[in-house]
Amino acid sequence: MKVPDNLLFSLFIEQDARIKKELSEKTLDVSTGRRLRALSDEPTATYNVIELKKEIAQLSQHSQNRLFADTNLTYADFTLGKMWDTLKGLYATTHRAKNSATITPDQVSALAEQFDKGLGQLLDRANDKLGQNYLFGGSSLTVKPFDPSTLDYTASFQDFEVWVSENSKVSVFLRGNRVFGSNLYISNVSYASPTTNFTPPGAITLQVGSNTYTINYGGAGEPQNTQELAQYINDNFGDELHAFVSQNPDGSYSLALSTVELSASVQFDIITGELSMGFENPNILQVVERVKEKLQGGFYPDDFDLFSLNRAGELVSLRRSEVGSVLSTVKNLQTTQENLDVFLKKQKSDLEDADLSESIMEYTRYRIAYEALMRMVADQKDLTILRYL
Amino acid sequence: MFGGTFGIVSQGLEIVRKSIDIRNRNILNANNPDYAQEDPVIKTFVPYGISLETIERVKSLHYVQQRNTQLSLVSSLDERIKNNTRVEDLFQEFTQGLGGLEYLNSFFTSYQDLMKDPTNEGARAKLVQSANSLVGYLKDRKKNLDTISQSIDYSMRQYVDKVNSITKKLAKLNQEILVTYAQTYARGQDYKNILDERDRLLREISDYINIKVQEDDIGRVKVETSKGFVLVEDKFSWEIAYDGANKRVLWKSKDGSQVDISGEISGGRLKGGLDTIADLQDYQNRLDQLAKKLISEVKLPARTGITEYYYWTLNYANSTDLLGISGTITLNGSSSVIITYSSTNTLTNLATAINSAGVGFSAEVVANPDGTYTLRITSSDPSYTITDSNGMVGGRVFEGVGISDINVAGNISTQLSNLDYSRADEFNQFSRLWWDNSKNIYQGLTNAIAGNLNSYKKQYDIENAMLGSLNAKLQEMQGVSIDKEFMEVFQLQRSYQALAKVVSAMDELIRTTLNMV
Repeated sequence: MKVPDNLLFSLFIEQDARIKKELSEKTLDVSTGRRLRALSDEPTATYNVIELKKEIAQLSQHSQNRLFADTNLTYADFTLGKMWDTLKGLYATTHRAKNSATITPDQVSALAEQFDKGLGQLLDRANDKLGQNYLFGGSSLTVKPFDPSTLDYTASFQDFEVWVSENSKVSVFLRGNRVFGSNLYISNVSYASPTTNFTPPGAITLQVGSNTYTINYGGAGEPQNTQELAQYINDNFGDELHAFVSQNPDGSYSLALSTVELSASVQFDIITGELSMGFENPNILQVVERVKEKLQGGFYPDDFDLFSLNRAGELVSLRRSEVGSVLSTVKNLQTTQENLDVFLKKQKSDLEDADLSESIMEYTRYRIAYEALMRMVADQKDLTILRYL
Repeated sequence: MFGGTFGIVSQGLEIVRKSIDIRNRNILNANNPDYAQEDPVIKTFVPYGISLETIERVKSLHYVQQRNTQLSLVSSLDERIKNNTRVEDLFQEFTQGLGGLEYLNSFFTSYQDLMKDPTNEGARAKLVQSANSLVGYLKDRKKNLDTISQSIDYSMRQYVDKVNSITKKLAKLNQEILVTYAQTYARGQDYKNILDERDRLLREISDYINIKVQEDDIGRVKVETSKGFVLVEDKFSWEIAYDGANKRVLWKSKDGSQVDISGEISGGRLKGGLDTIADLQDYQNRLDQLAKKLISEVKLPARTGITEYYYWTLNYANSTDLLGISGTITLNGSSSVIITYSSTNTLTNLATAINSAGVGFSAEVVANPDGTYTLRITSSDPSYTITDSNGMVGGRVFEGVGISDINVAGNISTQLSNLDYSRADEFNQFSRLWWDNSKNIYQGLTNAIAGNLNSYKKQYDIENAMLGSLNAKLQEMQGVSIDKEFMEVFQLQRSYQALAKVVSAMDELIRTTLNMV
């Protein structure tokens, strides 16, 4: 077989181009540190890298949301802690005043002043903002939660939630009606005296949890006035309900109810008779205001005032523990997210980045191959038969 | 007697000299890939002497055609790779911050950032900025793809010109072959150079378009496209043209009519160009799909302040599809109305209910740019509010009908200043689906580019190796080995010396004979 010179040259050019291409690839691997530089280098890896980039971006967003939730909930926790302190202080003062043998009108007035300041602090805290958003305004965010004059809740009735992972979201701006809602109920009807008789008689049908109770009053053999009714409720439904006769800021008396269970609430189904005007359900701020107004009117605090202040403190504490529980979950998520981030980035790096030692080895291999090719061609050209003529 | 011998010797010397010339020509063309080696065929006629019977041109048209067909395939792939590489360069997904996915991710993280903290002015500004960047990116890529498409048109015109110029030359060569053939007989000339030139042109045209070649007895060729459209026959040539507007190659008949032969071209750079145009169309369609998806899907929770238009958040494949969710829409217009809908209602039912309410809102079922359907609601007064219990009312972030006119919605500022915060987490959840959908389309685009180019490169490597092997085979057959040629020259030289010695021997013989007389 003859070997034309041109064939030898073509073979050399072909091999030269192939090895040069490999050499240049490896040089780029080593100099850029990247194994993948263009989409077509490895389509499967390209697909995976794009998938991972999106997952990393989504995870980063969830981490930011988690941090946002962490910041907000930490502040909510702090705020609720401060409110609990204030409520405890007011309760302690009231308790001391109530237990003291004598309390002068001046002392009552000073106590009222303390309640006024305490209420102001509580209102400030309840209407506190973090950035542009009210901490306890729920999803309305920019609506002030509590009206400073009526103390009624005016913002959203749903929490503002953010997604902190693929499948879970947490409330970061809580709805104030729940956080500061109470399970204290005061009848809208009031009497000049706790012993004023009910006319006409009636019945209260209410639910506590899953239990429904009917309490008859004003009829024969039934409680005839608020004092007797309170006693009757405590005697017969004491496992579920606390009942009080409480003096109102205007000096009249109302029936006051509350649940024994801290987290339970009362739902009034049907009320007939004199109490058919129903029950007011004050929020914690309104509970404090009621006591303040009583003190300002020169009235002494009663058992319900003490109970309601204590219950308000306990409820705030309960909400705080709920926030703390969510906060703990959010904080725990940090480690998971950080680990996942490291894992995803490593996966991406494994796909994209060059293994430098391997690349350098291959680079050296191709260099040797290239030199060998040059040598082979030179030797081949030297093999001419003409040398031997 | 001596006169006859001298005649034979001088004839021998002449033939050997001619043979040495042929060998020299071989050696001179050793590096010419289109050169076919020549072998002088010398015959001995004892006792009359020797003759140069023919000059054999070592060539096989079968191999040449096979090589040329392979060359067409390789050139077609090379053209496709060249153009697709330019497309690939536009999508730098492995360079941090430059990939299209970065723009998508940046937009959707901005969106989720805003849904996390919707009152934050910075987050609002960032959303608008990232939406504009995303639109800019999509439009830039569209423009880049258009530029590549235009440059392919330019290349196609150049290739067509080349083909036309080569076919003209081949027709002229056919004529020259006929003339030179006649002269060869008359004057003993050979026309090998013309055949070499013909082969070179056939190789060259195969780079642009794949052809079928038929050779007649004297070496003239008939050239056709693979599906039988004649390009060269005898001394005539047919032209082709490129129609850039419709992206097709036309064959011009002698009667003035033009035939679209785009589908008949199966190789060469023209085929590569046409294939890349199809690839580009696919890429542009995918970009368009992405733009349409963004326009159709991405919405902000809005409840008031918008005169045109509020949209139902979910899209449906058909206008008659069931809603799949139950809830209420509260319209606070000239008066307040609550519309209750169930999962078995349709968009049309909702539109009818809103229109019947007559409180300043009108609604109609409209087709989205991506082909899905949704409900479009118009409020006659921007102060009216509309809320849905499932967060199903929003405003579009992008407007337009596709990649050609996509833009950030003109009323984006109004939407941002009237965001319905209470639906932020629902929209955050929706955005994850939109993000996935957009990512999938973009991923489809990058997959298409990566997969196409990778497979073309692999195919190219295989086919190019085959071409190399065919070239090697051809060179083995027709190429020149200098070693072999030197050996032949060496032999011829010895023959020449031997013949020359016969002359001096005869001279000596004559001299001796004369001295003897």
